[in-house]
Amino acid sequence: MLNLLYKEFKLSIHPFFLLFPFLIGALMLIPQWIFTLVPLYFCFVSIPNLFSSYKAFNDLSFLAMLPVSKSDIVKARIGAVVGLELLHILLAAIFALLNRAIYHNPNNFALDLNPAFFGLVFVIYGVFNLIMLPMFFKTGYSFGVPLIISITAATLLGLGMELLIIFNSSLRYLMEESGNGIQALLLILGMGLFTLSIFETYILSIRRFESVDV
Amino acid sequence: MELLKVQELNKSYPSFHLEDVSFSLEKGYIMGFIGMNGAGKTTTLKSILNMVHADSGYIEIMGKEFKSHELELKQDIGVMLGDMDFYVKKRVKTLTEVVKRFYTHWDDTIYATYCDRFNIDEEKRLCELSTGMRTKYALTLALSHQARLFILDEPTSGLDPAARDELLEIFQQLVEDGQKSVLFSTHITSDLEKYADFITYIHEGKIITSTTKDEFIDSYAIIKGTLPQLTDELKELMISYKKNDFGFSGLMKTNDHSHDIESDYTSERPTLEDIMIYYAKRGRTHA
Repeated sequence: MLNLLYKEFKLSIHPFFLLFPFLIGALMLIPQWIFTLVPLYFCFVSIPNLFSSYKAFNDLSFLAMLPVSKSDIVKARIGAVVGLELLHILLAAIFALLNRAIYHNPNNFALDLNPAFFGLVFVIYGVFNLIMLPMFFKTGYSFGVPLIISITAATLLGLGMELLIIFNSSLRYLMEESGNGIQALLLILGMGLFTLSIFETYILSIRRFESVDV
Repeated sequence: MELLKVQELNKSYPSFHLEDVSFSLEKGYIMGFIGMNGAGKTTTLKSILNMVHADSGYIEIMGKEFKSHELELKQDIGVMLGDMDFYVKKRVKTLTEVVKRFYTHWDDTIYATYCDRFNIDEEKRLCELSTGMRTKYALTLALSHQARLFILDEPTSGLDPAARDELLEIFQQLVEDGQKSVLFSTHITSDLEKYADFITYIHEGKIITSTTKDEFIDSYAIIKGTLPQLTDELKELMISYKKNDFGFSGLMKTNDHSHDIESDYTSERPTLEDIMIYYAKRGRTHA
């Protein structure tokens, strides 16, 4: 599994996608913005490029040659995607702290940058993975339809929450005014759901990939 | 000892069936797996390696059932399916650096020796290597992890005659120690005339025969005669036949019955190509 992860970052994933979270994370410094777009750029930009590279590099043929199990292939791919997501979240969080330090005004017209916001980001990525990866592993190479459906779901969830908070005061209270304790709880809840989604993504993906003819 | 045993392999697609494919390969030999395009060669090789899920069948490699020992056995198998067309923009040394991590018996000294022998420049990108050089690189990787069974799908296709001959000579050298075996598919029959010990012939998803090269060729005869000699009874006995202005020529299996026929007609020893062509002609006639 570790060798496959090494292969992912040495052969398959271009180093630019490790730099990309820094560039995208910096968008957190825009004052008064729709910040869920920042994590969503990973779905809009990184994922389509990564998966088209897998196809262009004929990655499946390469993997078929190696003494590796299909479950390890799935684990490594999920590991690589989750690793990049965590890097995006980490850097977005650092830039979010910078945003707070620079502007001293947490009151955004849409979602504020606080722990609850990052709880939501975890849920967005969890939903995205849960749709994208099992659908992708149905063939092991075709990513168009999985991408459209998973991006639509993640965008609806993220931007839907941004819109809802503008019009729904209860939700704004829960996400922004309920105090640090509740916000921390929402962050932990988001992380928990993200972790659960990883396991479910793996189970569904391997079930589908096992029956794929390479 | 059999390095590879395939028993009653079946795989059904909507327009193609692999039917009861069975053959075996002893240690220390080269087996040519021949058949026309679309006969089922690649499907068989992929089914052996569990890359294609066979509907039924049993595969044994080095005395062990393949499916239940897949990862362990893949350590001892050198695989090349088609052209090495993955990660072609990567440098050879980068690919090697990744591949070597997966093999417990990887030997850097062997790798360096074969790179030197085959003139493989590690700084080059895979796309900068010719088809022949890519095949040699695939073999270098397999040899460096000390594979004992080489399963190669059409390794000679796309190579010029000199490169093909060189590659086949390498196969010959590989099996000289009596410990390794090579199973390679091809539709270029001249590849097999000099170097193959065994021939397995697949036609429309069925194994026609799997035996030594000489036995395989000796089991067929080309019969030639005049058109009046081409009786309905003879047509039935032949696999297929061709007619021209001077008469006919056809392929038939040699058996007790055929000796009488051979004495009445002109009989010739066929080449592997003749056998494939007449079988293909039968396929078209029966289609």
